[in-house]
Amino acid sequence: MNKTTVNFELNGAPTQVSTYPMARLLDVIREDAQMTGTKEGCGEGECGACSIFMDGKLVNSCLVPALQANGKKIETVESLASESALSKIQQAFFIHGGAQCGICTPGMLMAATDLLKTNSSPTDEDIREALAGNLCRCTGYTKIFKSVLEALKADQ
Amino acid sequence: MKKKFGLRKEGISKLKGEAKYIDDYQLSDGLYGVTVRSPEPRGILKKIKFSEKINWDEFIIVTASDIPGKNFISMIEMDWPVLVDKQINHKGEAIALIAHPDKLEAKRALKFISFDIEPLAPVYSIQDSLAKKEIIWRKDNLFKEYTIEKGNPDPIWENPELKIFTQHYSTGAQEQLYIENNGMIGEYSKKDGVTIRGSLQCPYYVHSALCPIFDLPEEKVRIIQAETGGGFGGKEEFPSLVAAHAALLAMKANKPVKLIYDRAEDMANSTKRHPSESTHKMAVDKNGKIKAWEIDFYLDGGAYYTLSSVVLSRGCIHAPGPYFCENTRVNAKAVATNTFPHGAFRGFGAPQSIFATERFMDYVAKQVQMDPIEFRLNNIIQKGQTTATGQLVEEKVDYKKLIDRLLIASDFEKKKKQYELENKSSHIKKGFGIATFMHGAGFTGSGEAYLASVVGVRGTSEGKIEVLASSVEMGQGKNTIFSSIAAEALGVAPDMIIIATPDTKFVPDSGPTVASRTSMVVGALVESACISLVKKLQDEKLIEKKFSEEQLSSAIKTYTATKGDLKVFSKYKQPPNIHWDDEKYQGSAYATYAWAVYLAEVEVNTLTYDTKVINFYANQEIGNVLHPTLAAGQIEGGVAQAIGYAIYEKVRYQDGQMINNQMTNYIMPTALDVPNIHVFFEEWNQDYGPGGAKGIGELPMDGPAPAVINAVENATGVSVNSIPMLPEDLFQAMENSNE
Amino acid sequence: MKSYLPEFHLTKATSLKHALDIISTSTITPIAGGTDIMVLLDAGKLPPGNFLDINSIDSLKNITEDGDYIYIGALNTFTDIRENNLCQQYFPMMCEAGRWSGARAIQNRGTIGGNICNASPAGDTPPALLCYDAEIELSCVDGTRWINYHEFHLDYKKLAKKPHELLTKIRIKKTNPNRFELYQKVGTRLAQAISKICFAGLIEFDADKRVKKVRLSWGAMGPYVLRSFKVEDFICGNKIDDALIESSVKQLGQELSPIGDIRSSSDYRKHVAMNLLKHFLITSKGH
Repeated sequence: MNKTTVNFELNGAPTQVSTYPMARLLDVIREDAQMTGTKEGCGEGECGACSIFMDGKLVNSCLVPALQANGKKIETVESLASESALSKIQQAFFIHGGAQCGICTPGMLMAATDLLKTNSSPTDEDIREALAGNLCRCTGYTKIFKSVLEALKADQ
Repeated sequence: MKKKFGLRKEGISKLKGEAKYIDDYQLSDGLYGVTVRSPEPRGILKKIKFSEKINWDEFIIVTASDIPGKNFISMIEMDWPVLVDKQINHKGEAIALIAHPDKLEAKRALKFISFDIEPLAPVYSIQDSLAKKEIIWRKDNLFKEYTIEKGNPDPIWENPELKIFTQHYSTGAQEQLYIENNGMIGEYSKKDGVTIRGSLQCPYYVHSALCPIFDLPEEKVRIIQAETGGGFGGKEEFPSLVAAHAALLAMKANKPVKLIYDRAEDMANSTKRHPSESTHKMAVDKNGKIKAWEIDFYLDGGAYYTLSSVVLSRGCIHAPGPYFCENTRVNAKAVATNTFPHGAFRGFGAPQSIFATERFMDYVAKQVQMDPIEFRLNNIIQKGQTTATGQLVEEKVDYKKLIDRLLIASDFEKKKKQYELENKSSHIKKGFGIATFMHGAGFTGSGEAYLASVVGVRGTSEGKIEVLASSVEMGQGKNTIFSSIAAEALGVAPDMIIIATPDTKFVPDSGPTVASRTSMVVGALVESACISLVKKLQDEKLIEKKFSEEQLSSAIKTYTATKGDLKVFSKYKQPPNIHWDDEKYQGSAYATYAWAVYLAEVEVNTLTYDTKVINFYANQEIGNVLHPTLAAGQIEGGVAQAIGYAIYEKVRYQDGQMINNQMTNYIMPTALDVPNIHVFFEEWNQDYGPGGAKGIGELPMDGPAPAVINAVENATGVSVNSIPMLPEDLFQAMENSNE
Repeated sequence: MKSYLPEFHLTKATSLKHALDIISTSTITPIAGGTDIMVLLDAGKLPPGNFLDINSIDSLKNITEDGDYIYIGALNTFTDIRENNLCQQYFPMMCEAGRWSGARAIQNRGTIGGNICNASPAGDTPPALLCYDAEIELSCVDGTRWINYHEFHLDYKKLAKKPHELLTKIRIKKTNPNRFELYQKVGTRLAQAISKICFAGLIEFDADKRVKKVRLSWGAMGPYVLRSFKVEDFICGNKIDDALIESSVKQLGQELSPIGDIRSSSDYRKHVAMNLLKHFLITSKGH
């Protein structure tokens, strides 16, 4: 057996799993840690449904080997809302129709959150570029763009 | 009545990552299932070989001989086997199923199974199938054939005063590419029978399929829809196969089995949009009026029938477009090939035929030297005229108004002049293209009567109202729409409405979630069921004619506490004026049509031959906008998907199976690729559907492809008659036109 | 996940020395950000074996300035390069290349060292690196050596790097501010796309408007990233006029023989390459 112990912080909680060193962090999160908000859409880093923050950086968890998550701070969609409220971007998606079938939504929210963290006045092009790694088949992205713009307004 | 627009009913759970899709369900003591597939496109299965390198005792193995009942998916034709018995008809066809408690072991074992197959010659094209090079299906490879006739075009071709034009068009396959792959969890017990939970659009389709496979009565098969991450038709009939596979494994294992496709498997081994070939022939008089029109419309159905006849039906009925011509004939055929079976995909035949029609309209306009908008308006159908199937248009149709709105919104006149000038000196060429079309919602002809959909409404002991229907939420907003409709009908807040999970144990068959029928047909039943519930309470004197929300809630609580179950059902009744002749293919094909004009603004880079859609304008008359955000969401999503159909998405086949089965090689548009999509609605006609709402889920799939390719021709002068038009294809067309 | 994970071994290198020791004594494949290797693993296309996680070696993550040269550690991600002032100032085509790689989440993980050593002919940074005359530092337990990047690729996925060597740094001389450059990636879409053609061009003129220096490089046009040495020689020393442009483009067409594959056709690739060269030369005149 080739399994190894990996320790990381998952949405604020210290987490320890025993898994294969090259297991995908996506599977560690979904199966070992049973946090299923993060989704698998393609397994090849194209669709972004598996997007999470690792030490504050947006990454595709389907492409991170479990061993590399050791000692890292992992945040998934489940960390966005507080006990009492949705995050600004979640609220904007809710009001403006940013989610339809919802499968791309967790990853899309992480990418949008990443944008809002780093750029308080993105252009339309900046928004498109920030979300270009998250494929959505339902919305045509239109209401996702609108949701991001509305979330920015809410900040002001 | 004031419209009540609730926010997405299941929105918060989706936004928080709490919504459970099928792969999110974790089995405590279950197995992981994998499908073992044919490497040959056609042949006779002689032997399945299991390598000694694996301890097969650890595995559950299922083959055709394990099927207790019928080895067919019940559909229009009983030709689609659950598992190969002897005959293989397409590459990737399921021969066996295996399951193991460990996912990695299950997948690894695939490499250790091989087959002895006696190959037979396969057929891959419509032409070869029609030519009967090999007979691969029944007697003559022909799944279905329709002829639509109005008047008689034959003598008109001889008229020397008319100009005759002919063109040929083709459309490729398209992958639905829902971001959530197909998946099922199957369970089996002697006591409960088969239970399936999965990603699906039509619980009762799966139910009807599994009963004969397992030889079980209706109450011993239960189908539960899990949150579904996109369907687009790809989860209309195909899930019946996946469900049968999961259930068979569960039956043999006596444990729950999870069967989830990975992306590469899903792309290579699931139904896609039917490829098509269309030939148009038209006679036009000196006033630019269409005097005769003949259309040949052919579909490649793949190896099994699935829904080919219905796709063909919708395709050929939509082929003559929203135009008036007294002498029209459509000859339609769907044929078999040894390709993975083609199946339902949003639009369902109409995007295929409308692409050809709307390209042809531009072609003919050019030939007769009329502006493409002018030529269309000159022939557009009016109230009081009949369609090619002889259906009388009884409502307001004003395409000029639809078009004008877009011309203003897009700053068309000014930009067109500007682009004509700029194109002369720039390597980036810009242009506009238009498509005018109509889309019939609901099942064709007597289809809805046949479905006989039922919706239930239940008063709960907490004083709320639960809507019982098998229609599924797959992102289109059905939960929210049904809530809104029920809330409006009852005069309460949408919060009072609960939408029951589509679980065949608890909800009646409201028909499949397809054909743009859910709001229009099923929504109307939600409305009438709610009205009946109110009437029942009024009959019991528990509420007055006018009542408040509190009073209604109280009445429900009282009823359930004192009298028991409060449930009311509403069943579909065919409106009296809908007559359809299935034999002659004439009459009222659809209860209602949405009328639409779509305008594409593109830029073509003549260095790289890349086409980018910069702006897209979509205007449609849909009777009643039930929910502005959801309605616009449908159009925006459909437009993006259809732009993919036009210029990005190419299914590459090898031996009848998709080989570019990765998201890196099958290209759907990203956030950087999609245009600004501008959506407009008109609400003129309100005589069908709740508040007069017309179905809209599929119509946005019809217009974009021809509009975009028309725009490319406008920008570059180059005519392309086949989609998808990749840069390589445009390059080739430009080279050919230079020769 | 199509690979059988028990057959894949991953060890973490705790320092550069540790990594070099391990690769000097065993057959092991380094993995940095994983954006190439993990795709293969998931697809069941990665041969099982031993892998070395080098992604924590901090000494390989710097970008420093030393006189006329900029040194870029192999573990700098595309995002690191995009956000770095020195790269923005001196090597904007590398920043462009980074921007065109995948999308944000990929850029946050993919490294320049990985991009070079994965040696996909369609890699995004290699054409820019060739234009900038980059040099590669290869390290092993016995020391380091420098090699011109244009001598690094020998054939399809065949590198001038020994099995016991690790690519540790890239060194590039600061660019002449009086230069014209153009990076153009032609992909299947505007993000998350593998190149069908990737062009990077750089040109410097002297006071007489004659070409003093020209670099023309191509991704996805051959078994590895290419430079058009012959066309460069043809152009160098001359003024750019219509005749030169036409001849150069013709020469390029004769020189290039791109393949047709699942993404594109050879005809298209060749024609677009010729169009891009023509466009580059015409546009450079106005500079």
